[in-house]
Amino acid sequence: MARLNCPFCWESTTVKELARRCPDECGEEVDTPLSEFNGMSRPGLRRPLAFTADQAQKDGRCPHGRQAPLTRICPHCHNDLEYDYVRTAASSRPIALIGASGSGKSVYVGVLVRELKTRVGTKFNGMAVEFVGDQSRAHYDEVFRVPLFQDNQTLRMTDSLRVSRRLRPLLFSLRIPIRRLRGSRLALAMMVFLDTSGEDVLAAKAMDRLARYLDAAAGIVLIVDPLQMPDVREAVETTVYPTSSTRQIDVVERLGALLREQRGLSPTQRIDKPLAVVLSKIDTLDTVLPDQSALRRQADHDGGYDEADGQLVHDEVRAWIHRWYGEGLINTIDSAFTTSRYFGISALGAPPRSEGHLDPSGIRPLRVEDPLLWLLSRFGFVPRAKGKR
Amino acid sequence: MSETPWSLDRTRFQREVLRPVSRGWDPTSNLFRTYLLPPRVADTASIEAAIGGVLAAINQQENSGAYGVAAKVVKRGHQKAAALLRDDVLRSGHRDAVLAARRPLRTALEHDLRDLPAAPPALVDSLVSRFGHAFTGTEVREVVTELGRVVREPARLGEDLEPPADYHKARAELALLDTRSLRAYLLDRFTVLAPSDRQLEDRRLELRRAVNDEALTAEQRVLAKVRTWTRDGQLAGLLAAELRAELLTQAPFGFDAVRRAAADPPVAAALAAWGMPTAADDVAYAAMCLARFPASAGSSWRAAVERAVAARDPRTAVSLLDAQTRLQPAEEKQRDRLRAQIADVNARLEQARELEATDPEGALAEYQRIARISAEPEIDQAMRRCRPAPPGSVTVRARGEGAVIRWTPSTARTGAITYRVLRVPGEVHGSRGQVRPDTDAAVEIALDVDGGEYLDADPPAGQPLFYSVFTLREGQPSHTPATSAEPVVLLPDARDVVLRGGADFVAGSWRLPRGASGARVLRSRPGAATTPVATEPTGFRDRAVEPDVPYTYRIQALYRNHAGGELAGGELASGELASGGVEATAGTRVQPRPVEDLVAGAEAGALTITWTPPPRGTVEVRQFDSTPELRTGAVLPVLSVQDAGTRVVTTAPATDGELHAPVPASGRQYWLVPLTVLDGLAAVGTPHRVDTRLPPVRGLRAQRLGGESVRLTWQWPGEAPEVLVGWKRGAAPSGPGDPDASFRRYTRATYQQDGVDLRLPPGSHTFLVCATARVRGREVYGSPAVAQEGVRRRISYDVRRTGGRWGGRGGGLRLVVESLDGAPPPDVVLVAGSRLPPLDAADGESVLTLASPADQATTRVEAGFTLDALRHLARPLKLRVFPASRSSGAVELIPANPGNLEIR
Repeated sequence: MARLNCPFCWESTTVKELARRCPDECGEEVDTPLSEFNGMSRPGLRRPLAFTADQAQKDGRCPHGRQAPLTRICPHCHNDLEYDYVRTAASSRPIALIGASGSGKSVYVGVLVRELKTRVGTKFNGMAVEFVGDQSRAHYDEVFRVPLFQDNQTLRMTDSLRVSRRLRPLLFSLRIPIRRLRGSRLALAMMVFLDTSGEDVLAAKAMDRLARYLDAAAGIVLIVDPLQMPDVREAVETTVYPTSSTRQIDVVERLGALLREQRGLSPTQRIDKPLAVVLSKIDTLDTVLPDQSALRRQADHDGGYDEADGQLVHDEVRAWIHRWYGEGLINTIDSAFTTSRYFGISALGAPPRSEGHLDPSGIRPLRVEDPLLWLLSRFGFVPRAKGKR
Repeated sequence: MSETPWSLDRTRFQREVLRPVSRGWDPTSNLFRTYLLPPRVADTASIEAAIGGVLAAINQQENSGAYGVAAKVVKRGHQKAAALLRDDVLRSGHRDAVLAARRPLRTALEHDLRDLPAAPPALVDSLVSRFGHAFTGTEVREVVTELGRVVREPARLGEDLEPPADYHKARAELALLDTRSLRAYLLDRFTVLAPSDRQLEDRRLELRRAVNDEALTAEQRVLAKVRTWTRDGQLAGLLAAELRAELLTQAPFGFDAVRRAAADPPVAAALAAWGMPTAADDVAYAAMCLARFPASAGSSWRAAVERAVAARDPRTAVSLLDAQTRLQPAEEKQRDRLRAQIADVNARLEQARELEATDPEGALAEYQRIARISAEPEIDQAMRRCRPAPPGSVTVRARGEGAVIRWTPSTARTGAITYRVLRVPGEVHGSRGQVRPDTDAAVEIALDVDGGEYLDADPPAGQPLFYSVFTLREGQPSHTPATSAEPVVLLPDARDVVLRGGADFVAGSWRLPRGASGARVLRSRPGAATTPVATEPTGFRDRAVEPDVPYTYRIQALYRNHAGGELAGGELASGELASGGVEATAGTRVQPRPVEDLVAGAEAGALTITWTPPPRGTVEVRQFDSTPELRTGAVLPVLSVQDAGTRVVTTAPATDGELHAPVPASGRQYWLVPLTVLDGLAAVGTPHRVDTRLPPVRGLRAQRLGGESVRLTWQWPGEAPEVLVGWKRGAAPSGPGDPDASFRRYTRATYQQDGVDLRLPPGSHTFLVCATARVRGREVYGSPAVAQEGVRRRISYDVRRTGGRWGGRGGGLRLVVESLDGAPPPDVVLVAGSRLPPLDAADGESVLTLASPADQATTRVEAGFTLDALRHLARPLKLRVFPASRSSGAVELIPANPGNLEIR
């Protein structure tokens, strides 16, 4: 029986093991698992009784004999699970996104979703991007769409709304039509975005929810902020200081260790989960990048992932990271992961004009879809194309 | 004869008896006088009354009267006198003796009153005095009566109206007019004796327009004097004096002659105008009394003598004194003195006359000295005879369009000396074509000029002119003038000469002076002969010019040779005369080129105006609040457009092709027009409309994202629903209607959602973005933003295997570099990196350098290479190509096959 991971606690379970709740008429009681999930020191959240399948009556009624809602909940954390997620999680490809604080993860997610729903989707036979559940839709609107695309503002890290949403995953699915010799089918990739930070990674322990999240992911996107590299800050003459003192190499090392530990791998064994190392904010490198830099060009992923272009970008970004960061980060990544590719993206297209305000010209992302398309091509969801030169 | 009862007239007794007795008269010589009885008295009562009355009177006088001695003398002969008077025989005998003694008196009266109807009282007094009081006034009156006359005071003929002192000068002027009197002149010219100011002015203007001669000049002076006398109220007195004088001239011919003259209607009218008696008898009687008895003019002869002396008329004074029978010693001395004075004057006059022939100035001076003593009529005549000498030589020199006439002063020194200048045209005489003054055509151009110079400001041009100058003394001209020896022909140059250069021509214009018949233009340049240029009377257009060569043009005004023949100064073959000429230099003028691609866009809080600078000249940008009336492409004089529109205010120094101005206020539209200014010309460029009714687009940025993708980003303009995006290779679109540009519309939603990524072939494009909306049914565009993508060359390169295993031993590699823009590829270098690609030309190992081909038509270069020298590098090798130098500009080197760039 196919197993799935709860997108909240990332515990593995089966569909059959999923719990349900009694109807409201049955009354509420303190839901300890849910309270613990939400970080409450003393259980206090009251919900209708959660019951598993073996606790249900034969016809599926709740233990109190009443007709129970069809909503499934995680048997571990008692969070509600969206129907689509339950139905597709077994065949989906969760993609995890991590990076140091201030590296641009949230902006990347907010812009990536919009790009996938618009420009990128048109190049892939009508790729459809949908939020899984109203909570995710509301989550996206409140945390990403309104600030970025309506108010033209940056995402504040200390925003209380984001803090409140921090524990809840943002779920959206990519439905990609795949043509076969005999008809076509839909491939589904599930993006699960948890607002984690590099500090969270460093602090995570094995069997922690984050470790389970990362282990459950089919691919990992690691956001690397070039402005956190002293040589880059000097080259671009910026006075912006890094928002995080966490060394990115430490994050990668800990990530590898967590995953090996989660999977019971030896230190010499490499993780076969594909890792997309994404150099963010390349718009700040305009004075550094040469005219012929591949990072100045938009990839032409017309119906497929442009492998040649991707290779060029990979080589160049590796070279830049090597120049700015030394061999340490590259070697750490190469020794931890069997498959990795380097990317360069700009989610905004231009640096924020001021604290909290984006460039008035709007958001014009560059290459934000490259990491995801590479992963999807790895999954076989999108073909690899040579691309035009 | 009726007898009047005798009564004692004490005043008469005193005057006619006592006073004369006191002076030695014998009272017994005429007892009728003594006893105040008529000689033919026969009335006893009157006789007795007279005897008694006289006795009483003398008794009174004897006792207390002023004439006591005289009374005693009369009394002493009273008895005898009484007895005689009482006796008819004795009285008759005494009467005969008395009447016989009156015979001289009667004779005198008969003479004096010969044709007069009466005797003036002054005559009675004069006779009494003349006969030494031998007769009384009564006796004279008795004789007047016996002669059938009466004693009557004559009428006055304006003797109290004094003529003006300068009348005698006017007499000289009137003589030149062949007029005997001012009265006759006034009646003849104006038909009235008191012409109005208007009449005088009209006549004066008539004289100004007439040809000048001596008579005209004289009449001008007379008119001036008449005006003065009229103003001063002296004209009536003058005319009355004239009339009196006229009548008196008839007096020698007797009363009837005077009477006839007085009966002349104009005379009567004149007398009536002055309030004088008009009856001819009365006028004649008064005139005869004036003539025959000067003392009878209302004042005594002594007063007349005094007036004559005051008037410096010793002759009249002497005449009056001579007419008296008895003069006082002082009067005799006065007469002697006046006679001596007259003798002296006569002698001096004689000397002056003689001096006239040799020294007229000296003679005139003497006449003036004489005139201070005696106002001799001859002196006026002498003034007319002794004309001033003419000036010395006369020279004429042209000055501008006029002529300066100079002359040496006349030797005349007496009186007020001035000059009269005439312009005399020349006429040709004889077969040799000599030019002489045509004095008949002379025109007075100046009168009463002081000094020795005069400017004829506007003489006729092109004809020979002489100038004559007369000396004037007190208005009397010299007999002859001084005339310039040689004629002068004034040939003023053309005025307001203007030359201007066109693209392939030089044009000129001017104004011809009055009298010029045309113009001649000569063109010259260094090293070339002078060439005539075809010309119109007031302009020319010379197209036979080379560009950028300065030419000198001489513009000469032409004049017909009125005099004919040859004149000094050079006559043209056409027979015309040419002025000296005005020279000016000009050449073709490079036309300024209009700006055709001016655009304006709001950027960073300022309006940025850009254009392609023209090859020559400076560009001014003018703002118009309405559609400019300047025609696009027109080349106009700078002065004609200096007030066109308003100059755009800049917020930052303008650079070549770029100008920064304040952001325009919203809600209006205006036009920006570039003017290319060069050498005084302005070329009108294509206007650009700035429409702020829609918000401007700001922050436009064009970014080529490799290959054929160009991304445009900008700040969405306010609440505009749509924008128009335009692009064109090279220069910016001139506006939304540029036919050479491509356009596309975007809504705000599509822009925010999809952005704008245009697929454009490689090349440098310029983009224009502006808000657009429909306002009142018309498409309106806001202030655009313009951006140009950086020019970046696209060069493709590939590394190809040439036999053997790919990159391995036994095989070779070949680098192929090909430009995609049709120009030769730049110098490039192939660099190898170990495991990581080189990031620039200095990052890694240089493998191969390919030079740019010399042939500009070559777009592909290639060369073989090996990696044998890089064996020390760990594989895989990453190969990349970079520009060999930064001078190549922005170059995008694109690997055609990225997979070939990794050598394992």
